[in-house]
Amino acid sequence: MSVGHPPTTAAPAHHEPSFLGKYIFSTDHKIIGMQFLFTSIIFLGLGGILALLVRIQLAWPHAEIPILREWFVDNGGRMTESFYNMLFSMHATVMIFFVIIPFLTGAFGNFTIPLMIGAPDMAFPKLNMMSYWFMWPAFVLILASFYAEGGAPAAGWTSYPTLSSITMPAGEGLHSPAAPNSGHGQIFWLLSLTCVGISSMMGSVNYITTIINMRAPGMTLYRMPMTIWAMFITAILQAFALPVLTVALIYQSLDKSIGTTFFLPDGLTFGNWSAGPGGGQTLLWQHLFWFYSHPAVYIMILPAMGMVSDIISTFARRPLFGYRAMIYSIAGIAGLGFIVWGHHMFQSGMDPRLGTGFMIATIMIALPSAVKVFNWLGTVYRGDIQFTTAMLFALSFVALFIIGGLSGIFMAATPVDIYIHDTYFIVGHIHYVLFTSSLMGIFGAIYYWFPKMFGRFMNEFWGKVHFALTFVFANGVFFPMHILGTAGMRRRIPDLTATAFESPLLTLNQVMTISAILLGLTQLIFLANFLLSLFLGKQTTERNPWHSNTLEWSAPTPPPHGNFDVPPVVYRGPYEYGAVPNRTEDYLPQTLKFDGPVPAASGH
Amino acid sequence: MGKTWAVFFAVNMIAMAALCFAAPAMGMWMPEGVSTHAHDVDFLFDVILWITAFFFFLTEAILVVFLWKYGCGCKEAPATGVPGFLKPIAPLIDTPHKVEMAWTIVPAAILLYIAFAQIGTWANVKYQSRRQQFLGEDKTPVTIEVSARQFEWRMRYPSAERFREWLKNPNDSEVKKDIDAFPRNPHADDVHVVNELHVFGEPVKGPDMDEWKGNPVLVYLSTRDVLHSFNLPQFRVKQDAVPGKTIPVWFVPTKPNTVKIESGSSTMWLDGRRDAKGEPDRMLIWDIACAELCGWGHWRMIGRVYVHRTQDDFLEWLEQAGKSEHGRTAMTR
Repeated sequence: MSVGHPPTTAAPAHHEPSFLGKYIFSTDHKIIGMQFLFTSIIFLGLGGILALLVRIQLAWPHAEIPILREWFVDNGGRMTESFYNMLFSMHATVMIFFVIIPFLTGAFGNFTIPLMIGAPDMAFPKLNMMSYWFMWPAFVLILASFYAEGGAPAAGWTSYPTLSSITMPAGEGLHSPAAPNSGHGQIFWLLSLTCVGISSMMGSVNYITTIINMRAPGMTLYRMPMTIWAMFITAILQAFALPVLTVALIYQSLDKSIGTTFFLPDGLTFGNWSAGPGGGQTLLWQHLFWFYSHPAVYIMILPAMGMVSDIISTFARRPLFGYRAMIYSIAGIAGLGFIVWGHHMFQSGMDPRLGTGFMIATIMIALPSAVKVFNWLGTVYRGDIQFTTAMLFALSFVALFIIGGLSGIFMAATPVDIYIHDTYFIVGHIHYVLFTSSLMGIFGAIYYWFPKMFGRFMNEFWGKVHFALTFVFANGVFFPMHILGTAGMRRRIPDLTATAFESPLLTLNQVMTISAILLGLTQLIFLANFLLSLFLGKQTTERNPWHSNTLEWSAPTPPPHGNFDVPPVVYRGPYEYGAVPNRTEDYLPQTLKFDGPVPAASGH
Repeated sequence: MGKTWAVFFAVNMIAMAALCFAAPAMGMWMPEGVSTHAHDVDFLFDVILWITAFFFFLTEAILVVFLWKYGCGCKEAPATGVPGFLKPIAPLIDTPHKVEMAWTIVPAAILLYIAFAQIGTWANVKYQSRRQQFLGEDKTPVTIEVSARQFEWRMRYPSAERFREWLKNPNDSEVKKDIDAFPRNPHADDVHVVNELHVFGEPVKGPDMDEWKGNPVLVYLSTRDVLHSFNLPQFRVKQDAVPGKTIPVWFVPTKPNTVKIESGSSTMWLDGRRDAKGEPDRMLIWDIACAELCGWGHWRMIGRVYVHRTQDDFLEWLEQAGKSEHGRTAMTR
């Protein structure tokens, strides 16, 4: 039985650091987590605005858009096609690399890992600080790309060559003959993502080391909460997949700057301009990119699954059903996640026989996902559900992840994918997984851990209003995307009136856009609730307001530097909820030494 | 509280399911398939749709029922002397391993069925080794090189004369070689048109005169600038065009949509029609709609598929196109 370090967690004597040292150049995992949290919320706003502009253009392709009209006088008051392409490219880039991943691994990974395993901090606090500070060049570069000559990149978040990568030689100004936005803006994008990658890699190394080495005495691997298991497996995924993306980003940067041809074949011609000798392969980029970006999809969902498991178990007052099966299915998803990247490339010109293999692996990923859903349902079964805002978001994660999971099977099936590939079906699928699943999980986690982070509650009433409206409007905008995809509507088009088969879909698009605007406005309720609760929220009077078992609730609120006043020792698994004889509470915290009936492992 | 939220979840789910059921009636579903393999693709889509619909209703219903039942804050008194985590969860789950085995093995079997059911159709339309067999050994496919550019489809056909020769000797090995070498071997008399894919079929003699049989189509797809995707939604055809590669694409149409119209000295071919009179039918206008982001003009990189009613119509069009200078022959909308 592996046990962590002997207790070294007695609050280390330290003097109170200055404001700058405490909040800006902090090595405290909780502060770093909050730094990630605040920047992610800011970028969520930016990504949301970009999305709304996309939706507005789709619904009213020929109308003048009030404020934007002034920018596009030359284009008759309508946004240009390049601007539209830039909007969805940057929406996806911002949401994936600057919102979801930093939210999950940056904010909640940092905040939860040391607290939930009973450690005073991360294994490498300075590396942790660096991982946040490496995000800043990324922030600056990605925002600067909007002001670059030609504008921010518009080749999609996938940045497929040759549209993204073909560039005139430096002597001719590094412009792209393929698209105005693929010149300087694209170079900013590549550098920015490289910095995000370095940041994530520092985080991963730190998380893996911390979880392996810094667990409190008694915190065996099979006593770790699902949040920690998910963060652990996610960090491993990230550590193994990221180098490939970094290599690809560097290759494309070299193609664009010093004239290498990793992704450029022979004989490229743009108008009257012919590129020099090539010899590269455009498909190579797709393989490298998706070798990272498919595991990245799981990086963007597994931590949310972990947090949701903890929230559901806490508020259902039931042990998590099938604890070990939950761990194995996360591991299964992660393992299969490495051998399914080709399902993004079924129609790409990759050998179709490879497609068959990728299809079978991909469809089998639905299996561990299904097991997880059944286990969540089993957890709620015969529970005593407390409908807190956090619980509602966690339940909606389950309800809507089912849709996102099932719609994936359509695209995994190669012949069906022929028809729905690159349509709104995939757009619907990704938003069910990333918005209505991951982001719902993130909202749940914010409401859940807010009292521990800041010592105050968020307002429950407005939290529920936020939940109900988000649920309705998110479904209102994302569910019809499946219908659009089934009708064949292509993704990444600014105007669907150009074809006979897409034109009839305009009305539905207008309904979706109205829903999207309302969804955006609903998030203002969240923002106000979040900011006001920081200063005015009801103060938490006890350490463990939710009566939860995991270690972070045994720390003072908010936890000081060093986290625990009493070094925690773990005696039991994290999910022992239910009535116990000789005990008034219906839960057994992990630190509790209790001489009642010896509980079975909370899984089996 | 629990009942309210159970109803809230249920209403949302039912609304979404209702939208799915209503969409086909509102004209927002897959357009009618007009190639021989479209039926297979649609069948597989429906199989997955019904299986996933079943599990959607099953799991969401379980969730809603649990919220209704266990969210009332009126938990039954705890069984005496047995902690919650030791209490048998239910008769059904008394032996949790069995239940877990069941909900692992049953979905696994269904998923494997879904996966293996796909392979045949996928192989027919994508595997090189299946091409001859799928298109028919003794048929001469309409052979077209399609070169995608920002933002148009450039088509190259063999001349009418050369194509007639091919039609006469479909099994001749020289002809087969010629067809295979078509993308590498441009002739001076090749016919070039833009954004128009012309193919044909032939009415079949039989008791039912409405029957019509399409001639196989073989497209050699390439590009010289960026990625594009050759997307014929009604034909359930989609294939990316990749710089540096020539990728064969094949299908067999099952329905014509083009009629010949003589007006004075000129002859025109109009798509979207069953006969020379009458308004075009939107369901018979078949776009070639680029499906891979290729730059600012991506959305309007649109061509049309013209399926001629007879071989003679097609050959007549091909002859006329060979004489035309502008590379645009049919009348669009």
